[in-house]
Amino acid sequence: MELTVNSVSCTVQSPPLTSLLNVLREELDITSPKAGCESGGCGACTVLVDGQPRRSCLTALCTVDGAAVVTVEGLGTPEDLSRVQQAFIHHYAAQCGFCSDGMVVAATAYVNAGGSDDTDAIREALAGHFCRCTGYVKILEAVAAAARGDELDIDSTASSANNTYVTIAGAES
Amino acid sequence: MKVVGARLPRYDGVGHVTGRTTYVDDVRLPGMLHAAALRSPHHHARITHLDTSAAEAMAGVHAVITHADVPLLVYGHLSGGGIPGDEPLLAKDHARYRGQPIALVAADTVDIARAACAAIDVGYEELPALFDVRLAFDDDAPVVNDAFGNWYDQYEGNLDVRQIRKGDIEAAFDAADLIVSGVYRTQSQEQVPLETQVCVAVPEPDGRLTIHTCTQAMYFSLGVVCSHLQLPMSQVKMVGGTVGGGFGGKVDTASDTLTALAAQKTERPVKWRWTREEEMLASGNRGPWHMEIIDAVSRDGWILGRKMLTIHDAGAYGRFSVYGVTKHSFHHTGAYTIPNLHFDGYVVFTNRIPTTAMRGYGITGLSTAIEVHAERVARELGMDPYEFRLKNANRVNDTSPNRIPYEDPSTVEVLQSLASATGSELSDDLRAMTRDQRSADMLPDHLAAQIGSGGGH
Amino acid sequence: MTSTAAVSMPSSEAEAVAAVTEQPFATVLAGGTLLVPQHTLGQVAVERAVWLGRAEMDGISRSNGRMTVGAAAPLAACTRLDAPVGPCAANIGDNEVKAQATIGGNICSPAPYGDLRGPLLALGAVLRWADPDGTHTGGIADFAASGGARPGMLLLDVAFAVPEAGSFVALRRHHTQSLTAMSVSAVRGADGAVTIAATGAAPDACRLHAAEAVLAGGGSIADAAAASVSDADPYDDALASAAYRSRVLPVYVGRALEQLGA
Ligand SMILES: Cc1cc2nc3c(=O)[nH]c(=O)nc-3n(C[C@H](O)[C@H](O)[C@H](O)COP(=O)(O)OP(=O)(O)OC[C@H]3O[C@@H](n4cnc5c(N)ncnc54)[C@H](O)[C@@H]3O)c2cc1C
Ligand code: FES
Ligand code: FES
Repeated sequence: MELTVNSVSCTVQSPPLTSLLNVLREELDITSPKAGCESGGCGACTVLVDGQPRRSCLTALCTVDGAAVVTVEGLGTPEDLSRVQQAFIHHYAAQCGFCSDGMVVAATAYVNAGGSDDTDAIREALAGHFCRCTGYVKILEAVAAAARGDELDIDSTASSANNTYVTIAGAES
Repeated sequence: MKVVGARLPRYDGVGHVTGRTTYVDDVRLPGMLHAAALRSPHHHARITHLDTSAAEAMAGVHAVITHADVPLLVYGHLSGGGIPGDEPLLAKDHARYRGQPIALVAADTVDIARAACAAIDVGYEELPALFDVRLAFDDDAPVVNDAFGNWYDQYEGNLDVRQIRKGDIEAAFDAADLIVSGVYRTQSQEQVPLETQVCVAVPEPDGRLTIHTCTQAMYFSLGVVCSHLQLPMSQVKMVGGTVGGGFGGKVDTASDTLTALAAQKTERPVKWRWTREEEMLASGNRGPWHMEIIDAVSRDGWILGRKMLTIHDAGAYGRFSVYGVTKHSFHHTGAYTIPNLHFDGYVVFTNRIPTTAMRGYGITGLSTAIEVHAERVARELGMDPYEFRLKNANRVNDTSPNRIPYEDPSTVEVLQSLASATGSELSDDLRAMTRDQRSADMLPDHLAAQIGSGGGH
Repeated sequence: MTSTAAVSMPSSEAEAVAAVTEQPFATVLAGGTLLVPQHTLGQVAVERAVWLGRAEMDGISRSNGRMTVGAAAPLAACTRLDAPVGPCAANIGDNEVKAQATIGGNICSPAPYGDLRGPLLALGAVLRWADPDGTHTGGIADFAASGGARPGMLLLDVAFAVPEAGSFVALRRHHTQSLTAMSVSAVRGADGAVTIAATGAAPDACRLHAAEAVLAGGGSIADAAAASVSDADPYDDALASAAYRSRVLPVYVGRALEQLGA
């Protein structure tokens, strides 16, 4: 079967009933979708399938043959962060980060679909996504900021893939 | 100030939002095997036989680990502090809680490992289970814990209880205008980190082990692994620090030791990731607490004395519970000063999941009990709950139940902020209160004796 | 266990029936929101599967006062139907689950899933399904009696008369991933008769005949609500205790009937 993952086309060998989560993580070694529950309950495995947010753990490979899949790696890089990624950093919306991969993907789908900064609307859009660390307030602020298109002064300074340091304007006030 | 009040970047923020952070489950190694556990389906059972030969013979299975493979089977979380161990790494003769691991299989895939677990031949003789701490002391109660029976009995060497005796409790109750009692019971609670328990253990060519761990307590876990495996610490390297949430539940070294054993036995890297169901069923959680409080109170709103009995449901094994009850005892007056105390706290064992740390270990349920009780006392006195709390609130040099003078108690300010945040009017007197050492009206006779000598150290 | 089961992808209902009913019998894969995780975690064995995503079985149509919903219609589309079906579908999972899960999968999912069996029971819906013996029609209860979901059976569609009025009330969920401990659906048909069904009052969805009879006899909502417990078979599970279910059922029957304007 064929998948285009983050703009790269791949031929995959996993059996047709394999979950897309296992195809991405175990066959393609794309580890950003997280196996938080493997049963649809947490949202950590969310990816975009043809632009729509989907729980990859609920999605059988055969049902997405030929589809374009985007994971959080495909949304932006440390050197070129997307608007939603910047907002998550600026508003401290990622704490342990385990929910963030799915959360950023779902928030991106929401913003791309023209979602507003209305808290209730964001809550509804992200209702299937669990975060045990942040208490959600920071996440709601981040998504609202991205939806509004707030100017955020984030300047990625270092570029090592892991643990990139960023400076936030005003940090030394 | 460069740090306090400043917006500092998170060093791991960019990695978290771009999918670049490497959690334990993201570690990829050539030749890595996958593990699955056989767990007890019973709350309490005798294990009559255990035969792993069919599982071992399955294609793709590389090792089946049982109690016989563990160099030091029984080790306690507090053994380092002199508290005897009570928990076997894998169940041997008895399963004491549902979900207790009995065997671990390492195989080419997790599917094969699970199928092999199902192929292990294990016989159980079900035993009556104990779930209610209040029944633990009955003569006919099922006996839960091999080391201690139904409650821990070695406080201060030979005491059944963690005791606090402070001041003159009988005099306080003789002097009381009002006695208010209450029983409070809080439930168990799972921490639910989004990342379930997970470990990757790697045998190195030089014979050492590298363990990619999700532990919240790196050096503690190193000690636990090395004790069970009977290895010097120089032989084990722990790689951690990237934890997908823990909230106390990843202080227990739930997966590292068994994964390490499997890596040793197979001489291959092994990954063991728990399913969400296992996490809910078998990982240590916040324990239930049974708390009985009796306060001796004066008509003008002073708590003269408190008698308290706490029974902590530790689950099947002790883990940190002995420490948890001690911490609980030190805090059993909450944010209030009470000079005369009589506290007894038991660690009781039941056939439930062994309990462990969770945010405010030993304290969270206690705070609920103390605050609900405070509300009731104030109501019985016909006194404004803020006034009642602010009077008794800890001041500088009041002493804790374990006689530590408070250097910097913030209760007064917290209560004042709470009142203003919730729109509750405080009288001028209450608004003017401070944390300063007690004097004048705030220092009635019964509190004079408990004032510390100043400075906590 | 992740099996190597082959999956066929029929492009019409007729092809789907053939693919499901031929030997060895196939397991139907609709949205997969229940089947895929069960399969991943080794909780079901699948020898052969048939995916409905291309079988054009997702239509929703209305004619002569009857609504027909294809088994593969996503819950997201069902949320636009009138009460009791629409609000019940809206109460299942979150937006991402609703976009993927189907009405047929819901009807075929065992309790505590299968919320839509409540409204469909109240509506007297007629199900159409195929198995190796041919095509059958019947109500929710007939479908269950025939064996319900099983390899070799394909649910095709569900049809019901559009009611005069309908209502749906459910115990509030803590969040979108919680299951609904209890719900009550009420329907007033063209003839004015009221039918009521509940989920969570008994181990599976059940009609509340006694309450219906009270209303038919001119009794009050309060009396109907009180009578509802006689059709219940309350049970304990992780979502609610039997005692709680017994206490709450009349309250929810009352609310559903108020909403209906009975
Ligand atoms: C996060 C989450 C929340 C959920 N919340 C709820 C809830 O609140 N209420 C609730 O009722 N359910 C809930 N579910 C369960 C389930 O997802 C739904 O019931 C859903 O409607 C199932 O539909 P599906 O198309 O995904 O079914 P599938 O997973 O594809 O199939 C489920 C079962 O039905 C069979 N099947 C499916 N379609 C047919 C057919 N046409 N003919 C024959 N057999 C068929 C399959 O073989 C399988 O056995 C939830 C699930 C998740 C993951
Ligand atoms: S892993 Fe898919 S929703 Fe939790
Ligand atoms: S940041 Fe830890 S779960 Fe959300």
